[in-house]
Amino acid sequence: MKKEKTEELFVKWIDGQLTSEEEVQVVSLLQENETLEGELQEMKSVSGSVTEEIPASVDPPYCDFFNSQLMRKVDLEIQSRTPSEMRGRQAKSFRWAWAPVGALALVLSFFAGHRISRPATVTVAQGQEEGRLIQFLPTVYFAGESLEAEVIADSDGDVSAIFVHGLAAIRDDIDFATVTTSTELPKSYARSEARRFD
Amino acid sequence: MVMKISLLYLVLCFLAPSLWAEDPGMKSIGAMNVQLFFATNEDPAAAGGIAKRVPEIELKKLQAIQGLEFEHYRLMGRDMPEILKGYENWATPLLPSKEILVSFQPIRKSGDEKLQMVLEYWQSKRKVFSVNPILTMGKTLYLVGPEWRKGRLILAVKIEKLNE
Repeated sequence: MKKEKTEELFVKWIDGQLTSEEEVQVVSLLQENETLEGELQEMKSVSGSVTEEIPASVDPPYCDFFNSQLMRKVDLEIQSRTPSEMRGRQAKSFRWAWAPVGALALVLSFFAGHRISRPATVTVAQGQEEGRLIQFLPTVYFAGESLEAEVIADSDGDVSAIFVHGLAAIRDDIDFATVTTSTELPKSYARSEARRFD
Repeated sequence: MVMKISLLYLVLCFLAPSLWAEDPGMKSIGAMNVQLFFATNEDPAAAGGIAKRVPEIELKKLQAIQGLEFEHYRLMGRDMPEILKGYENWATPLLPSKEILVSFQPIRKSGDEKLQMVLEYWQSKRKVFSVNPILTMGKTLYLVGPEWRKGRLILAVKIEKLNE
């Protein structure tokens, strides 16, 4: 018997797919050559080990749904490659370019507005002078009472006087020549004094 | 025991310099001149015995203030405290009375002659208002304050000296 035919019989024997006729052939082969039996047993043990290590293939769950989704993706891909869709996709891919264009438009409109809002008669020097005066005038913060302040600047733009309106008048019977420490002095004042004499 | 004492000695050696180190916030960067004036159209004697005549130069400055037109001005008191770099400082121009106090704290120095500071006006031990002007050395800022004995009290705040 040819070697290929022998191997085919052995494979079928291992898989348990021998016909009765083939079984007779295998038995006669084994009787003719005793070494074949050992070889056959070895092949069977190898086959058993492989089967244990590699699990049998399993069908995917919901295979119909999986296939339908796959086909849908394929169809969409094919459609997107048509000329009109390609143009649409190109337009979408350039949407990021609107951000810098918008920013540029904002900057231009700011400068345009700035130029319009400033009167043409104001010179640069005058503008700087105004800015300097405004910069030096301080803000007056009141401690909760309904007071008003009027800040007056001198010719250099420095604050020269602050009129505070609405302050409670000091009682006429208070004499500044006498010590008036009947009420508690501010804590921060006391701390400062303590620091000074440390 | 010897080990513990040695460790303590070592720690003290490390801490000693910091105990004697000078607080940088206590550094004096100049001096303020805070004066309190009494302005009135009535008899200036109402200010009492502590009131003094105002020097002619100062009188001209007071009379030059727009919107302030009084006949008589009297100096009620003066204080010249140091300006500590990192702390709130106090001026008591009416000593011995502490009816009117001024606190000030430097914020930022610009150039050799300008100093921005927080000025607070205290009356009857209560803070009334605060302001953050940029003061120029030698230039007076007048704070026109409350009424008293048919006149008005005016605080004059000036940077007298500014260290380099």
